[in-house]
Amino acid sequence: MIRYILGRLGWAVVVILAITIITFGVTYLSPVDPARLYAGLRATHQQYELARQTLGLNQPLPVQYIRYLGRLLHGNLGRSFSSGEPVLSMVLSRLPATLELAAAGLIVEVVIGLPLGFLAAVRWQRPADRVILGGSLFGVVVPQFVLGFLLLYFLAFKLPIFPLGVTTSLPGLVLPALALGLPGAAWYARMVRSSVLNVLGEDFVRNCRAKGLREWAILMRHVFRNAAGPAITMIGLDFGIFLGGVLVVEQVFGWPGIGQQAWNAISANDIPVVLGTVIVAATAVVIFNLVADIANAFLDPRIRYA
Amino acid sequence: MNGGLAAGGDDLVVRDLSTIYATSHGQIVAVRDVSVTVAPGEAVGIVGESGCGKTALALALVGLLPRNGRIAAGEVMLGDIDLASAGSKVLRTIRGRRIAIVFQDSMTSLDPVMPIGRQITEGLIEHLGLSRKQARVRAAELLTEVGVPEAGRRLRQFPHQLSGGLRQRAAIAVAIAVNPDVLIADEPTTALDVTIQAQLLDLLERECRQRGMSLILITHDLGVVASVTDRILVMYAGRVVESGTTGVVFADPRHPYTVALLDSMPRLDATLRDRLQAIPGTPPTGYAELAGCPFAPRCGHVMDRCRAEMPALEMVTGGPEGHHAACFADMTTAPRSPA
Repeated sequence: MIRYILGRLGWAVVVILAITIITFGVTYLSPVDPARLYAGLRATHQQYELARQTLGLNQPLPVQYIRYLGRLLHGNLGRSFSSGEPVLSMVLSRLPATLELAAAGLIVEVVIGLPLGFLAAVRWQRPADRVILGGSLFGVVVPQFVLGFLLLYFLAFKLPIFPLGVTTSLPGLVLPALALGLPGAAWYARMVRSSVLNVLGEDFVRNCRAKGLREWAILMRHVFRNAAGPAITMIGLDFGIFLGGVLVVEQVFGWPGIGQQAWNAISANDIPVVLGTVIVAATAVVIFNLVADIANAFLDPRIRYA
Repeated sequence: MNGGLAAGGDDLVVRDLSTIYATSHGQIVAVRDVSVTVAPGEAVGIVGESGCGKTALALALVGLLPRNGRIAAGEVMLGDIDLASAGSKVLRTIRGRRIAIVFQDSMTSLDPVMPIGRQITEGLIEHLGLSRKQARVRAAELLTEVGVPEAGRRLRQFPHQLSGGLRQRAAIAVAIAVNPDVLIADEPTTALDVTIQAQLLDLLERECRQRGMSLILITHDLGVVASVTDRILVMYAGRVVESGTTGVVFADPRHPYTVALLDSMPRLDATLRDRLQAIPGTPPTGYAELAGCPFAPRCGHVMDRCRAEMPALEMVTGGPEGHHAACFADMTTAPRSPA
């Protein structure tokens, strides 16, 4: 088990390193010249050269990359081009709002998607299954911004159940969470349905019936655990992705998360903020993917002892 | 050999049982008019090639046919309960409790993510109402009894951590945990080494004898039934083509298919020049309604009558009581193929 976790951890580090190479490359290739920015537009050639030296831009590329890594390790994600604020504190200040939305969205996905998928599989090819399958198709194909506006229009404007304006209060969280989670719930339902159907076809399920176990006990004790793997992997991935900010939903609902901030940064060509968000988001994805892998290993001994 | 156990004493009586599978190519009659009575403590072998309906018969007995299968006719009486028409609630109290099954491949028939111990205790808790602790103690005893060493440690292990032989022993422990009246073993040793096969057959025989449990042993291997069973049924294309006490059927087979099966077994007294006798062709698929004897196309003793008329399963003339065969040919005079 320890070996398995260490192995996964090693891969996580490799993935994060690969991401830093990409973000570093983007900085290097971007049309914005940091030395020019630092020295000012009216700087003389000498001043410009001095700026290059101060910023270390005259060093060989590998050295620059190592220094860049060193800065990242110290939590230095650079400063915003537009506000001059440190990127890290900008991202961190927006993170709680995103965290809240991500958690709520995930809860919607899991609480709606898992039971429906399970139900569909158990009622295979019967009306409940067909309704869930058809409904999930709708959830999968409707774009998030359309869903967001539909929710706002019907549940905040036409029927003022939920607040319309920007608010991070609990009622204000409901619609963004639904817009974020419903498409995922549809995916979950379809995925869980097929993995439960797979497990139901296994010999050991027939054997459980031959043992005279209650159908409910078979489903809860045996089928669920065996079918949970893909769903857990997806929950881990989704949570990581949500933590990186959900551009569309945050934009539609004016949610003050890191996605909205990144969106503004993209519009303003504020590359350090965009890349800082990318690094935080990518790290979150990698970490929660790791958590999901470890959870799966706890659930399935065949992974643990492999 | 009834040990006088509480629930024992009932015959398992199968009468004219037929099962049908619906497939995309049409209906398959997997089991056709099968009748058999298994007395308490008796060991009955069901023998035949793959696809002859052995497993369908076993599954039908406990109402576990797959979704596309159903019992089309007949009854399965255990005491005064007809399992063929019983609802799922009644069946659940029978399955595991009175009729248990051991399947062929314990790698797939045990839950891969649940420790062996819990898979044994589950049935004990469900059927006997034991506490978790009591069930655990009993599970350890059972594992030791079926010959799994270090039972305490094995209880916590998962199926993939056990060798094939130990796993099948564990699967037997799961099945016999609550002292069923009847144990159905569907090709229980097919996936295992020959040496392990023999050990497991001994184990099955011993457990059945000690517990007064009836055994229905399903196999394609006549060698397996020879040592363990009191009686055998030979099945072909979903029908019983010959039945009788094991000794009589082996010594005096009256159906050409039984003869062919016997001839296709390796023999200790064979010389290198003797080749194994294979049965040419394959069994019919069961889609088409059969006009004559289903074995006719592969039979060395086929007559015109065989192709037009289905021979009924009848008492063998001149044979001992209980020896039945479904064949028009007189196999007593027919020459056996060289063995």
